[in-house]
Amino acid sequence: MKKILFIALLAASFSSCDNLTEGVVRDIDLPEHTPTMVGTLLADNTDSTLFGIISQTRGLLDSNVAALLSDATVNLYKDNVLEYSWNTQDTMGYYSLNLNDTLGSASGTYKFEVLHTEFDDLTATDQFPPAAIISEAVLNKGAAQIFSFEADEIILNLQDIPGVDQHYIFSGEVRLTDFNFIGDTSWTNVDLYSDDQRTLQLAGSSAILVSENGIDADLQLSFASTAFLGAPLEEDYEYRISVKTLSDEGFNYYRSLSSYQTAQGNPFSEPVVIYSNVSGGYGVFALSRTVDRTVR
Amino acid sequence: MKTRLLLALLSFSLWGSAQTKTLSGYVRDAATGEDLIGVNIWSPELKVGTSTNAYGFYSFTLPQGEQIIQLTYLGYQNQNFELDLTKNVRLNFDLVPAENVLNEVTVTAAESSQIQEQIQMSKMEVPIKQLKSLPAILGEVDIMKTLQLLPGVQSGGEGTSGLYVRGGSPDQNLILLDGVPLYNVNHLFGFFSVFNADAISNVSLTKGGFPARYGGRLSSVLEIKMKEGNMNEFHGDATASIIASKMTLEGPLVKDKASFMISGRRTYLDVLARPFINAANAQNPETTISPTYYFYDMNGKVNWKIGEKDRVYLSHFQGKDDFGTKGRDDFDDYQAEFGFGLDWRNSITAARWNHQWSPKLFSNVTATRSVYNFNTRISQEERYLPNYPDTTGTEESRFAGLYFSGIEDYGARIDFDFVPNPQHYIRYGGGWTNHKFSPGATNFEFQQSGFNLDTTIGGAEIFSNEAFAYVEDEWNVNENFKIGYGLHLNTLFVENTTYSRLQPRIGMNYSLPGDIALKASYADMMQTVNLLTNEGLGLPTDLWVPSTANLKPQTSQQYAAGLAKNIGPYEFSIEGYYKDMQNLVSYREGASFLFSVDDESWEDKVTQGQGTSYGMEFFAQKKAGKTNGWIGYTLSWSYRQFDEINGGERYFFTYDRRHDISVVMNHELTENINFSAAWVYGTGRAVTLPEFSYIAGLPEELSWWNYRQLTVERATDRNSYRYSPYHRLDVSLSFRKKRKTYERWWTISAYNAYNNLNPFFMETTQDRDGNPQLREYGLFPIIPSIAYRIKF
Repeated sequence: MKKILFIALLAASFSSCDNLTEGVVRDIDLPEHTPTMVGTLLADNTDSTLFGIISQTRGLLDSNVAALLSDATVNLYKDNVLEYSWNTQDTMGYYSLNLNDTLGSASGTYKFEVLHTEFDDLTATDQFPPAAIISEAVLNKGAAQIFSFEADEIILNLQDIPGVDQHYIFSGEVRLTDFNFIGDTSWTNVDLYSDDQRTLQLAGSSAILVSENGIDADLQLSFASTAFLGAPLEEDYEYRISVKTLSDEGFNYYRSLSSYQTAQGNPFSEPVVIYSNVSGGYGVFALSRTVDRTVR
Repeated sequence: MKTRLLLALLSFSLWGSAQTKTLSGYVRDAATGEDLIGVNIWSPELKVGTSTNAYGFYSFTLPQGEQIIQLTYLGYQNQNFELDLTKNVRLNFDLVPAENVLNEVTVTAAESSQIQEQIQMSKMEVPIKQLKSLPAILGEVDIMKTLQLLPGVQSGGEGTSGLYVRGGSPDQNLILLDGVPLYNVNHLFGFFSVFNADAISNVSLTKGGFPARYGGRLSSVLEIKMKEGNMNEFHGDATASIIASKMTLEGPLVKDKASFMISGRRTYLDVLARPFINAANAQNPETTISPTYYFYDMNGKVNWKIGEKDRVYLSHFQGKDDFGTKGRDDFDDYQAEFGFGLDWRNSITAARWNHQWSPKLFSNVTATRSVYNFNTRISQEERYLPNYPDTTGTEESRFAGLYFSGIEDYGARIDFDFVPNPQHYIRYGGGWTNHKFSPGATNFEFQQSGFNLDTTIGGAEIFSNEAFAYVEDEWNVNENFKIGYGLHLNTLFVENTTYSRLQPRIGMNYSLPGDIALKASYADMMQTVNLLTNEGLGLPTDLWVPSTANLKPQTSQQYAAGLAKNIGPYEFSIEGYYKDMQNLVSYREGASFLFSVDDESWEDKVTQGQGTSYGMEFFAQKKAGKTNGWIGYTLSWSYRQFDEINGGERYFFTYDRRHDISVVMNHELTENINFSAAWVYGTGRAVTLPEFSYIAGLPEELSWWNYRQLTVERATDRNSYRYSPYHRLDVSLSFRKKRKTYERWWTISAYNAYNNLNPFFMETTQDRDGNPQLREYGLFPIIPSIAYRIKF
């Protein structure tokens, strides 16, 4: 018995020695990837052009890079009635449609559909969320700090809509009436900062994402911003704050996209699965509604 | 049913009213004088029994008159005593180890101790002797690795010490070393556990059906008891293996009154590697690099019998891992030193006082301290000497960074055992713990040209207080039906917030025809400490954080049912379980503590969700005899669902494992030669693999001018891809020789004997032609080892 055991152990050891030269590495054969269509349509009530971004998936072991897809038709239905249909790509390769007016935000269920002869149809539905109700907007010039520099404080009060979990994107612009002493009155993007734990600074963006997160109550948020960091502020300027209300679908997509971009390049980050609400493939269809408020 | 209930009540009242006397005392090992836990004391005539508690104490109330008492304990000779009970008697028993007369008759458990008789289900025990006979990685016997071979318990991956019990995570295991919670069980990044098997006397793991005396964790209770020290003689035990040596000494301080045990272990990788490192550095003395790593741990215990009714114990454990590397550049015009290191350390201390208030009432008071700290340090010093180009004088700069986190607990508890009669075993008690959490702070120092910066970011300490009280009863209703029931009340006070939960516990055992036990249990649990851990890596940077005003305590409800049966020396059990978990804590998608430069607090990076796990476990075990071991099989599913992860959709827990099989065998070839083997197979770990890529549309806020696209990689779902299955065979052969004054063993073992590649991580690379390929990387090939042990 002892001899048998000894020989068996020896045989196992020798038979495995050839693997040792390779180290502890194994190549994995993945099943061949079947490409599926991917469609994105993010539409806001203020949009006058719709951009459909249509592509197809590429498998992990596919040496071709992902590319935009041609020959697709994009349809947008409202309550199952076709409102818009387009199949033309612009110079960027996006399926763009000029509406000649803003999209508006009529109530009802919108359906996004993408058709292509080589792929299964994509469909997704969404509804416009209620617009943000800004009950109060206050600007306190010089009342905040950014990196120990003096900045302006902007306080917004948003009225709750009972029973609705509201999600917002805040972004800001400033108009300097005497910028560079040339009387420039155009609006310029500014960064918004907030140390409120409920806020999320979108990765690679100056915008801020906030969700009620199940707390059904009025929301007060305070932001800091400055027209020109570190420079003396002029007396006569104003801010325009855009409050974009997102549907649940839009909120999930923004959040996952922001997390994805934050995690890029960091091997210690938690994995991110980009949100998808599209049947028949991947992608997202989300509607939003924007209101602006000027404060001075 | 009514008749049975009536008989039960009648029996209870008879025990209360008839002339009864109580036998009480301690049961000890005759050779070492150590108290024995769980010894069965049985009256074959009356068919009633009891068992010793965690301190070897028993209380057995019997009718007045002549009685026969039978004592049985695995690994010891059965003993029968005849007594004439005319008054309450204090009587200590000494059981003789069966080591020298080992045969299956003497060590087979008696009827009363059989698995089919116990109310408690989902409890696993591996005798220390069996545990120490099993194959060990690099010659180091590891309790945690052995527990990973039990059904319902999974390892985190190759070489890790974490336990994943019934779909739970490692922080959901209450690991008690001599009754004190231990927060980190890892040495060498998890390849070894901190438990030195030579210093341990008893190990038990409870996976479900938790009695009310346990609380504070959702998934399991692992109780490890240190040896108390030989009361009769001085003994020693020393082992030298490839990477570490250890020594245990024990003996009486005052014979039969007081004893001590001290045990220490240290690795010597750093010492062995030093000549090679020095030789390599000698090749290029201007630039030297010196990596170093070591760990040590130390256990010590003193126990003292103050009198017949009182005993005190003092136990201490401490362990440390230190990994680092130092480098030095030494040129004519430039000098630099840099260093990087990680160290983590555990320390626990417990003081205990046992008191016997009456023959039926026993108490234990415990005061504890538990500390865990983790530090990461990095430093660099540079000196540009005057002869360096464009330098006028010596210019110096220094940078140092230190990341530190930790937890410190002070606690006290009192437990009472009240045994009014053999039908009831009542336990009650309470306790309090003060936690101090330091959840990650970073300190930076920078000095250059008269500029000094010394700042600390994050890591505000959080204090919390936790109080609990419990009461439980094990009631032998009749010969066929036993029930255990109790309540555990746990309250947490943190950040001006109070969380409180009353947790009912119940377990039952009903004897079916054929002596098959039908068991069922329900346990409601609450957990107020959380371990934030990266799903991909088992780094010691994992943070212990408390429940706070924003983070609710974790809770669970576990239902289990099963059958148990003894057939000769074999124990068979099959159990099914279903566990719901709420307020589980996980990092948000994309969150990271390492290399993260944002100013978010740890609370901003976590989210709470739910989990569900269910499955079936089969276990067949033979604990003693010439050939012993077990076969375990688990079929299980484990899911998580967080609103902020995977788009809110339910996904597989990363340690969801559909099939898990273990076969463990230990065989005495001759009196002096022992062979053991363990084979394990598990479904591959669930991981998130970017299976495909595509172009996603960017919203206006994230787009750059008119560029509205981003190429992204995506998994079908979170944890939707599986690593290759895990399987491994470990074998060991040991040769014993008995000398006059000592015994010695040579042990030869092979970890991963058939050199299977068990995946540790995977990545996408490119082959020679530039085509992408997916590779799995393992950690350990076959690792042969040899160890020498001497016992005197």
